[in-house]
Amino acid sequence: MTMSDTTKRTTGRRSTVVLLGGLAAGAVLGAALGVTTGDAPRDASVQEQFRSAFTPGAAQTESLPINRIVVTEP
Amino acid sequence: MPLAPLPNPARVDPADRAGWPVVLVSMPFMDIDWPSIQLGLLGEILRGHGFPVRTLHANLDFAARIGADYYRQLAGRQARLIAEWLFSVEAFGPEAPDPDGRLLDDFATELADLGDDSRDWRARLLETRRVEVPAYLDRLAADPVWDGVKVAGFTSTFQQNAASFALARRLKRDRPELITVFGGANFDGEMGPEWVRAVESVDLAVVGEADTAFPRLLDRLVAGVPPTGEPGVACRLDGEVVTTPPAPPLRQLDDLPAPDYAEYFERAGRLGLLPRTGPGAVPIPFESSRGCWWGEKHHCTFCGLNGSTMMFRAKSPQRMADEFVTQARRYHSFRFHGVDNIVDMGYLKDLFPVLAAEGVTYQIFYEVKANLTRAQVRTLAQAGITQIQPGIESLSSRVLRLMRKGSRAAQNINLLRWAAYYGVEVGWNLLYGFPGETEQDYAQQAAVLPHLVHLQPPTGAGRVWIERFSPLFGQSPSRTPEATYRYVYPDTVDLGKAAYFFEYDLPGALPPDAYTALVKETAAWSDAWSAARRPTLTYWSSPGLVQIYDGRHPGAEGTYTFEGPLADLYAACSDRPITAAAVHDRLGGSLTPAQIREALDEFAGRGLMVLDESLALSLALPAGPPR
Ligand code: SF4
Repeated sequence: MTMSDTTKRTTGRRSTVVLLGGLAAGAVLGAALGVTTGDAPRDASVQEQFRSAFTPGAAQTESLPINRIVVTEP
Repeated sequence: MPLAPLPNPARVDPADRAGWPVVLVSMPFMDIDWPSIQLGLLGEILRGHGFPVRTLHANLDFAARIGADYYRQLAGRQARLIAEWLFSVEAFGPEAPDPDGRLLDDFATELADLGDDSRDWRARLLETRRVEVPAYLDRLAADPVWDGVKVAGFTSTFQQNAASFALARRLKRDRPELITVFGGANFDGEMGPEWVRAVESVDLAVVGEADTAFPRLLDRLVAGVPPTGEPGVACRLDGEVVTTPPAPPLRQLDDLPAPDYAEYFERAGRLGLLPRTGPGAVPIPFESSRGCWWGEKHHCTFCGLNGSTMMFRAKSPQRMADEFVTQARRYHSFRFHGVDNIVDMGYLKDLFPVLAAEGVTYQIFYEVKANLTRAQVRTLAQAGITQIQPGIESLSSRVLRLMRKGSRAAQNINLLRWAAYYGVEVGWNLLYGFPGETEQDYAQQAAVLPHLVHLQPPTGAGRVWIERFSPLFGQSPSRTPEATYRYVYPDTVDLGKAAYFFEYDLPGALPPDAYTALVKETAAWSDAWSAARRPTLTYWSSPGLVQIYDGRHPGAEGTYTFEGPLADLYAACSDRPITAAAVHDRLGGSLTPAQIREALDEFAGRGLMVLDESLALSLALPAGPPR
């Protein structure tokens, strides 16, 4: 279900719409919750983040459906 | 039933129709795994007019005789007319062009996988032709079902002609007073009149839709009025064939009855051809629409739908909902197979949400247009549409434009993504051989395919067929009928008028090796998909964070982690293909246009996205249960 579907599911009563990180508003993602962008500096070049983005290793298949990736070093 | 809006010159007392028994027959090589909608529907229409009608799924008897698996092999072999050839001698007697079986030598490389392994494939096919076919026809023609019957109606689509002609020949020999009427897709346009002219066992043909024309023709026969001048009928008159153009096609499909399939289930059950799990596993054919709303405006260049039947008409959502319920109860099946060319988009609003809300557990097959959104695929899935055929045809936007398909490569891939996500099976092919295409179009497609192995592969990649009525047929310079027609039909048949498939001879064809890489990558995709561990490309996301697990290629698995705007960019390109400018807007300017371009290239370089001209699309599927 998308965020906009959530807003449509109100039942006539005015509901409070929670904007998760600005998703529903289309604002800068992450900004609304004030999250930092972790270790990657905002001014790092695009290529630099791509260079360090990949961690090799096969995931445990059983870990896939849950909300976390278990990476085993090769 | 209000199916005859034209004035009827044959004034028939309905009671007289009771004296005109009709048998409607479906011959090999109609599929045996579900009933014929043509028989089911026409039978009910004629009954509604008061004719005593029996349907006869005679294809089942042949399958039972030669073995169901062998039958399915033959029925599925459409590239060459081997199935027609098996009945050719019985259809045309001494005029049959290939009594000795040259076809088996001349096309050996394409046919050698046929047979049931019990012996050499040639010996098996020759035995079928020389022993099993005549024995089958003798028994069928002698069946008491024909006693007292006035009209035998044959419905013929794909490779059903020769078997139908062969049975008609025997019936006319044994019962000269019996009238044979042919119809179906093989009798559309100029094909119908040519078969009437060239094949003695064909008395009359219905050209075009039969719902109105067939009962009106029967009324003429009952009243003793000549069939000449009846819209949609071809007949012989003083040695000439007289054809009257069909009336406008039926508009109100709600007026049609629900097809009656009782005879199929009775016969298939008796012959041991029903699935072990019982009739519940038999897909019930249904027709919710006719024509094609896309083709009315942009006829896809390879599509053999006839102009007159292109007009789109659909049953009302309420009528379809009722028909599903009725047919499920009648045949104790929850599986349905739509014979529509394209789904009515109105059903996505008015029918499928109702099926979803009612909690019915149907498994429905539909042909659809490929540019469906995620929300539309979800609606289909929730309504129980478990299989679709979307006419993807190509993963090159340039080639898709050449075929006037009305969808982009990125939309096609997006459909495959959301179908995989929501658990909808997709039947599709890659086609090539379109005038104007370039080697680069295929090099680019071949390069994309390895990134898509986590999605459902095509069943194959092949050269487009030239079908009568298609725009490509009009561009074909020589219009040479497919080569094996001449092994089936006597010289007296003008195949220029009667054939449906034609040899590929389009101008500017690329050399065959232009497609080698595409064919190879297609096979590799299929292999990867059927491996013990199915390839996966899955992402987890939260604002400012995306992790993508890439398990597409054994030995090269790994996880990508993106944070900040790059993560948001990847998530923004997931729902549907999107332009770089739209990405820029979505990200609120957190990346410059140049950075966005650079990032899209980097994602595409790793096979995590596809870039399709101005559009970008993330390839990974969201983790977790479908939402
Ligand atoms: S190929 Fe499909 S979408 Fe195209 S005109 Fe034919 S039926 Fe319509």
